[in-house]
Amino acid sequence: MNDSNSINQISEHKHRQKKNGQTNEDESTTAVNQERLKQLAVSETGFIFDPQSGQSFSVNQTGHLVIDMLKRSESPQAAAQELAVRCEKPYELTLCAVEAFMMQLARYL
Amino acid sequence: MSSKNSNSMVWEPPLIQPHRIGEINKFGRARPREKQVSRVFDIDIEQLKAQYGSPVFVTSESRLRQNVRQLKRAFEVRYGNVSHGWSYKTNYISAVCNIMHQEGSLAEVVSAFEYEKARQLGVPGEKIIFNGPNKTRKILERAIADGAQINIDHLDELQLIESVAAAQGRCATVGLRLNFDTGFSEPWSRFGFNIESGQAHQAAKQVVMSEHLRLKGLHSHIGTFILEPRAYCEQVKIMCKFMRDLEGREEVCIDTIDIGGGLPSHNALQGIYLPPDQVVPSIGEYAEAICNTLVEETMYRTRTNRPMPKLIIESGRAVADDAQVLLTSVVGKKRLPDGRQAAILDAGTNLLFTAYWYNHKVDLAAPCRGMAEETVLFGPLCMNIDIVRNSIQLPPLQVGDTMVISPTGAYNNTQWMQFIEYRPNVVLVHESGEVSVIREAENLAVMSAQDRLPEHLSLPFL
Repeated sequence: MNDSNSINQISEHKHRQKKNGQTNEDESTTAVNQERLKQLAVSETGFIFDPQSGQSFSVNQTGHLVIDMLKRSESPQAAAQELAVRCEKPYELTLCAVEAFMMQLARYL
Repeated sequence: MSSKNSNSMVWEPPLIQPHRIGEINKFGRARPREKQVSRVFDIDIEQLKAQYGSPVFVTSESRLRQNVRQLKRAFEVRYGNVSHGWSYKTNYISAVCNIMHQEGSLAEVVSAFEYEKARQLGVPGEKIIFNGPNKTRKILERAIADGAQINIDHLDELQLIESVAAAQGRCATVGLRLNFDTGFSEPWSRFGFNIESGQAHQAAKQVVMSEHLRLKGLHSHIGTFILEPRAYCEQVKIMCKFMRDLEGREEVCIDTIDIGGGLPSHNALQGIYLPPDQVVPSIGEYAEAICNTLVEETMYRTRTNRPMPKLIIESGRAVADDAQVLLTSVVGKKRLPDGRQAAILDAGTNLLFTAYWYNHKVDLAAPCRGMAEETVLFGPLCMNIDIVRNSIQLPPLQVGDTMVISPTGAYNNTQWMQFIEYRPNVVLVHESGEVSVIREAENLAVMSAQDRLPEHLSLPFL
């Protein structure tokens, strides 16, 4: 991912949040079914099974980490923070990527 | 959660990918893994981009020659008396046309512009097949004087040709375009004279009775991207039956049977589930079907020591499509509200008109940066329908990534639109490996050249 481009995206995202009156950093903007998320069976290799739909998925390493944290009821912002530390990337960039990931999850769960 | 160093991770955006039914289809074909391509027609892609910009169409001289030779050989070994007419509308870039002519192909043109273009390139009139429903008196005067083979589309045209030939004191050599139902494809009844209704017999009679017209050939074109060789068998049977009836009734001898084009390329038509290599028959299969039927249906001529008619094939797509690719670059990327990855390319349907009916092959000339996911490829136009691929599995993309879109050699360099963007360079990879521009990129001077400003509108603000 191109860093500067992602930061532009996050600025745009924040602008959107402001417009909508959502300025709380801890508030997730994407609805993911938390119950469904907790039911997911996740293997160490990133294989995921959704017992409700019977659908299986693969996640990459960063996605694996985010799902692990979300399953433990940690926030997307905390996952973004963890990614920023582990990958040595700006928090704005990882937050933007986690937000996009949440959109993907919302599509499947 | 964990310390920075011991748990460090390589960055890639988090991604979840569903396992799809059909990942391996019922034929056991696995979805091809994304691999980076670095060369097209044996030329380095980044070098092409650096020298000729992006987007750029890259055409292969070797492939064009090889394709047309293959097509001709397939028919010649089975029938012998065969000519290929290069369909200008498929790709009328001058260099492409002259490659075809150097290989012995006639020019098959359908308008005054295409006729004039062929003549400008140095094609003699007698090597031009003039089709199409809109032939003006002016261009007919030239074509008749040049001795071109004119296929008549409708009765008004028949009368016009007769009047031009009479005025010139000549006898114009003409063909009749026929239409009929083969039972395989939707009949193209808007072109030519219908056989079933008797229109064609009536028109033929009119031609035969005219002292200024000589009926030399029969022509028909049954459709486009015909995937069933038996459709051509039926076409040849119907045309030959018409020929026999005609020759039995009138003082006429038909020299040519022109079956038009319509042979498919190995592009993937939208809506067809199977990949092209499983649905598109080989040229040999078409040649076998067409030539066997033709030999059978014209056997009576051999028995009476009359020459077999010449077979003309006007195939464009099957010859040119895979001889060109389009290099395009990612100029932006976004995540759509439904979660799909989207990329904006510097080439869209303005250049790739065929994207409206094909799912073109897309290869990445960039390293694979992670798992493939469902991606939409948009073009650069401010139009919602400017979509190059609506759904394709691609890994994470970056601005500047190059994509190779193929095959693009048929109908893009003619149907492309000058809309919003300039049209880019088209280059040719010579047989020698040298690369040269065969159509220069447009610029403001080109775009404004035809504008005329009335004096009172010469300034934008008063």
